[in-house]
Amino acid sequence: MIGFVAKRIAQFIPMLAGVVVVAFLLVQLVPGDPARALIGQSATPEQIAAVRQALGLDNPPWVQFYNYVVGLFHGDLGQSYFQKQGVFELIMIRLPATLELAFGAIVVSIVIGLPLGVVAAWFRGTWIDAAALVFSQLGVALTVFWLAIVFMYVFAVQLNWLPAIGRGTPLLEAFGLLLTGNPQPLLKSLSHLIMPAVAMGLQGAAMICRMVRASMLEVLDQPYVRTARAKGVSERRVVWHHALRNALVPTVTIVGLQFGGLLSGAVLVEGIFGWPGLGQLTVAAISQRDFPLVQGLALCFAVLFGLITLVTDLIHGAIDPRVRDE
Amino acid sequence: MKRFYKNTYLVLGAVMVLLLVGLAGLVPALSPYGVEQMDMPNRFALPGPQHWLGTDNFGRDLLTRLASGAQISLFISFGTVLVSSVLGIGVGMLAGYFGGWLDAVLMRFADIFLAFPAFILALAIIAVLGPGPVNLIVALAAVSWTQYARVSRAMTMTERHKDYILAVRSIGVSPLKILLVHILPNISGPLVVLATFGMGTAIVAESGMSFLGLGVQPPTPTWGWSLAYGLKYLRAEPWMSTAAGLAITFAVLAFNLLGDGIRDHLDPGQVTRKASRKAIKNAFQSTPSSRQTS
Repeated sequence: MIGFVAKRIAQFIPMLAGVVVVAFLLVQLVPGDPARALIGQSATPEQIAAVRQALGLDNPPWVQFYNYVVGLFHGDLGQSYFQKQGVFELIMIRLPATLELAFGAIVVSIVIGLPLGVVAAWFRGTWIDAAALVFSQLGVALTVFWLAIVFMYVFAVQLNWLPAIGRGTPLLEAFGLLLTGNPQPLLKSLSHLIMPAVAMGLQGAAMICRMVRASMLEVLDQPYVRTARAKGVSERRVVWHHALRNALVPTVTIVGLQFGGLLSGAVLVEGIFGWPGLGQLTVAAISQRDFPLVQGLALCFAVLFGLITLVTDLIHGAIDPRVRDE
Repeated sequence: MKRFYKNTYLVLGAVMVLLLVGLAGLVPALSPYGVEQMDMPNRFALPGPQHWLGTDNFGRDLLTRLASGAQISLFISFGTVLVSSVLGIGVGMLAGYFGGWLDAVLMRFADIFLAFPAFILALAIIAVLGPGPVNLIVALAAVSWTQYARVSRAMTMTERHKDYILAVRSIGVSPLKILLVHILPNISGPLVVLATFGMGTAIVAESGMSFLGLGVQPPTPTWGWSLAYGLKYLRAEPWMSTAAGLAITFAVLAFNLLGDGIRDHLDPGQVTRKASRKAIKNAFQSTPSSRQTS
C-alpha cells in the first residue's frame, strides 16, 4: 500500500508542473499588452513602460516564468487587476463556499444515486428498474443551470419554501453553534444550500445510479454470490452486503470524476443563487479580462481537481487490493 | 434492419435527432415570423395557434427563435466534434501505432489538458481568445480531443499487432496508408459512439457558455442566452426560460440516446450475452419474489 501511495503521489507532481506551465502560458497568449489593459487606452508610453516594469513584463519570458514559479512557492499568485487585492487572498476567501457547495452536491448525488442503483439492479426488469433508467437518462441530460432556475421558480418564487439567493452561516460554523445548543443557523445554512446542491448533484446521482446498477448486475452474476445464496444467506444480505461492497468500487471513481463537473457546475450555478464562491469570481474575472485572477483560478481548480482524483485513487486502492497490484 | 427497430434507444434517439435537425432546418424557413420580428401588442403571449410556443418580452415568436438557437447549437457542437475528433484520432492513432517516445510525448501532452476540469479550461481559453462562434469551437475542441486520443490510441495499439496489419506492413504499405485505410475503419465504431455523446456534451457546454454571456454573442438567440435572458422575467413569464431549457434537455437526451443505441447496435454481443446470462439465471434460479422469502 505504501508503494502504491508513493507511486500515485509521484504521478501527481509532474501533473502539477504541467498545470503551472499551462496557467503561465494562458496569460502569455493573451493578445495585446496586459499593461495597456490595466491602465487603459489613454496611457502614455512612459506610464505603460512603468507598469510593465512594475509587473516584471519587461523581463524575457523565461525570467517571468521563473519569477512566477518562485512566487507560487510563496503563495503569491499575483495581483488582481481590478480588485486591488492579491489573487491568492481573493481565492482563499471564496474557496470554502465553493467547497461547501461541492460537498453538498456530492452528498446529494450519493444519497440519491446509490440506493436507486442498488434497487434498480435488485428489481431488474421491473418498473422500478425502468423508472431508475429514465431518471439516469434525464438526470444526465438536464443541465445544471436550467435545473437551478426551475428549482428557484418552484421552491423560492412560487412556493416560497426556500430562500432564493445567498448563503447562510458557513456550514462548519453552523455545526459548531449546533453543539452549543443553537440549531437555527444550521437550519438556515441548509435551507440556502439545498437548492444549489440538489441542482448540481442530480447529474452525479444519475451517473452513480447507472454505474452502481451496472456493476451490481455484474457482481450479482458472480459465483461467490451464487455460493452465498446457496448457503441460505438472505437476499437482502446478499444484495446489500456481498454485492454492494464490490459494486461500490467503480462508484468511488465516478465521485472523483464528478468533482471536476461540480467545479464547472459551480461556475454556472453560483451566479443564479448569489452563492459567494469561486464560480462567481471566475465569471467576473473572465468578463473583466482580469488575467492574473483567471490564471490563479484555473490553477486553483486544476489543483483541487488533481487532489480529489489523487484521494479517490487512494481510496480505490484502499478498498480494492487488485488496483494496488497493477 | 430488424435489429434497428428492436433497439429502443437507437430508434428513439434517431427520431429525436431528426426532429431537432428538422426544427433547425425547416422552422426558420417555414415560420411566418422573423427571428427578430417584434410585435409589441402581442408580447408575453402564451402558447397558442398563432405562436405555438408563445412570444417573449418584445412579442418575438419563441418557436422561431428556438429553432434559430437550434441551428447555432448544432453548428457549434458539430464543429466541436469534428475538430476534436480529427485532432484526437490523429494524435491517438500516431501515438498508438508508433509507440515509444512519440507516444510518451503526445500522451503527457494530453494529460495536461485532462488535469483541468473541462469546462473551466474552456472558460479560460475563451477568456484569452474572446467570445464568438469560432473561438467557442476552438475552446470546446481543445478540452474534448483527449477522449478521442485515448480511445483511438488504445484501439490502435491492439489493432497494430493483428495479422492483417502485419501482412500489409510486410508488403511495404506506408504507415499513413495503414493507419487511414486499414486501421481507422476497424476502430471507427466506438469512435462514432464517442462522437455522438460528444454532440450532447458540446451542446451542454455551448449553452453554458452562452448562459454566462461568453458564447455566441447576442442578439443571436442561443439557447443558453435565452435562458439567462428569460431569468429576468422569471417571476412574470417563466415560460421564456422553460422553453429554452426544454430545448437543451431534449437535444442532449436525443444525442445521448442515439449514442447508447449505436453502442448497443455495434456490440450486439453485449445484448446476446445479457440474454444468455438471463436464460442461465432463469434456469437455475427461482423468481425474485420467492427468492426474497428464502
